[in-house]
Amino acid sequence: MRRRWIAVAIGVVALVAIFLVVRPRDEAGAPGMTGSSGTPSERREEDGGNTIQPSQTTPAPEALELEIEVEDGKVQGPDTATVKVGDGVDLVVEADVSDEVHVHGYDLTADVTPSKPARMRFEATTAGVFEIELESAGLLLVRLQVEP
Amino acid sequence: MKKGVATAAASGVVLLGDVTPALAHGLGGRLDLPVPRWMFVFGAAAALVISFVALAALWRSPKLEGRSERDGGDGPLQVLFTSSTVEWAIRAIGLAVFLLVTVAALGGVDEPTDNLAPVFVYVWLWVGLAFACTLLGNLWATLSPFDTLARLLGIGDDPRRPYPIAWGKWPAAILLLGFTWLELVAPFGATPRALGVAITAYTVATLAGMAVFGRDEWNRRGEAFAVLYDLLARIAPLARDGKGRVVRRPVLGGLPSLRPEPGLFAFVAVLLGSTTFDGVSRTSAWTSLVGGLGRTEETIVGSAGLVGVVALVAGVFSLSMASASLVSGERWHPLAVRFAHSLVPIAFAYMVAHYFSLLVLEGQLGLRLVSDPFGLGWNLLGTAGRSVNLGLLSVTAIWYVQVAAIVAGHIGGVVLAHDRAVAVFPARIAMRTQYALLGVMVLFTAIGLLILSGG
Repeated sequence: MRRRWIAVAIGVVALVAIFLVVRPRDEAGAPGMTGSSGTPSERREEDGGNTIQPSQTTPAPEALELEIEVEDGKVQGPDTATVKVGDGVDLVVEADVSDEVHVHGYDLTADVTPSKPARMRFEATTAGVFEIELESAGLLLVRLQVEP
Repeated sequence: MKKGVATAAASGVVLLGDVTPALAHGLGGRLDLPVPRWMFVFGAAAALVISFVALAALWRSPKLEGRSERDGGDGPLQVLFTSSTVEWAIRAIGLAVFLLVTVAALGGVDEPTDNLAPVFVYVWLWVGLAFACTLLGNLWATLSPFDTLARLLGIGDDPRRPYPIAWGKWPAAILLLGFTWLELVAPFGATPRALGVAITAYTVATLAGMAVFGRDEWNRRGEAFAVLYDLLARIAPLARDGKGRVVRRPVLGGLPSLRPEPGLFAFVAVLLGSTTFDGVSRTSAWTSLVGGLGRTEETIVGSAGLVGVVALVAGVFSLSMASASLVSGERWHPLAVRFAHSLVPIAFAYMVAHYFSLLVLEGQLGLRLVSDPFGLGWNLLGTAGRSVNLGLLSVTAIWYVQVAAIVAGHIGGVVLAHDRAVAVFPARIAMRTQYALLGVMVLFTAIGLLILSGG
């Protein structure tokens, strides 16, 4: 009988010890965004028109530029784009078909045609992983991962 | 600092161009953030420690097996549950809702999020009722529109043939696999019309099964939802005895009395495997695998994936049983059927981990759609304007619920397997039969957590 309680006690102690070891130290390792938060970053006004830029995802603290190209049913761009809550997202989708770009969860849509890319800019207000799709084609463009 | 960002963003970010708010596209549109690495490590370590403590310290004679239930007393609950007026009122509600959802699916707007049917079936029923049954007991026994319909039409009162014993719960297992295929793989699974056809076909099949083999028989072995909710309700501390009286029992107390029969193991494997597949199909590895494929190919790969994961779950569990059979000298398959009940809490834990946020967040869509079930612009209950509030659950709250559920499910599985082992094996070998099974449970727990942490 006593042996059992010793085993249970050892188990509880072990769990507490493991928790203390693996639990994250507050803010220590986290890349801080402090300091840059006060000034609203300038957002470049682009005329989406014909300018084709190479796909790039600059992890700027406050606005993520996200460019996706769809050609022949194939998506060019990152699988997942990560931002922090409060960051802006600047999304440009070029496609060789006419469709509707849909940011799930945030429920934003924008039309895209072969001649006119879809352009959307919004604030990532809610944490979670959100699929951005070409709606009628049911094609997943990118997953927007918004971290708290 | 957070406030600063928020203010800056609010003032700086405006919606440009053709951006218009769309209707919520809830079903699967929002996914949970991966669980942080440290929580994954802690959850897996907890599962290991608990398993070792269980080996060293758990009871040597069965505690749950063969335990009798206690009568629930004569309180107001008892009066409510034993009243046949109340029972038929609930049956009437179940049938009315079933008809509403079926008509909405077949005749309403064919848009997944403008029609009540998809949210109702995939979120409120599949997830919501499963949670409710786990807390309160088998509600489906009274709510089931199939059972009520059959009773009203006099179907299945005198069966034409005896049910083939060898079939066991196989029909239910196959039908459940079909449902999860529709939910997770079929490209048309969320469209109301396809769902309406599926509901109609399932209703016809169920009534036919009841007519041939008898109503209760088909409910026990063929009707996938009846089997599912009965299985989950065995976790609940409340149940009804043969006379319909409410009885109390320990949590998980109904699972040991589950009759081992063919197909039971298959049914549990489908339940556990399909939820695992749902998690796998959300990892970036899977997305890049099916990324370049067309719709048909993606469906084929998805189907193979679903069946493959179910088979893998069954295979791994069978291996642990084969190992136990080396110790006990029995064949592995009867052992697998006899221990299958210990996977039920793990399967339920996977359901909680994967679908809890879906129920709380996407489930809100249903509140709006009950006011406009057919997507015709109605506002019957004044809730049509409601939007889905994704802020209702914080990301951290979801993480804690997920990890806690998986670890709790692991404990439940270990307890049930241990209790059965000390009941059926001599004390000397009972411990040794469990080494491999404990290993498999730790594996399932670790995999469950790994999938939650993003693969």
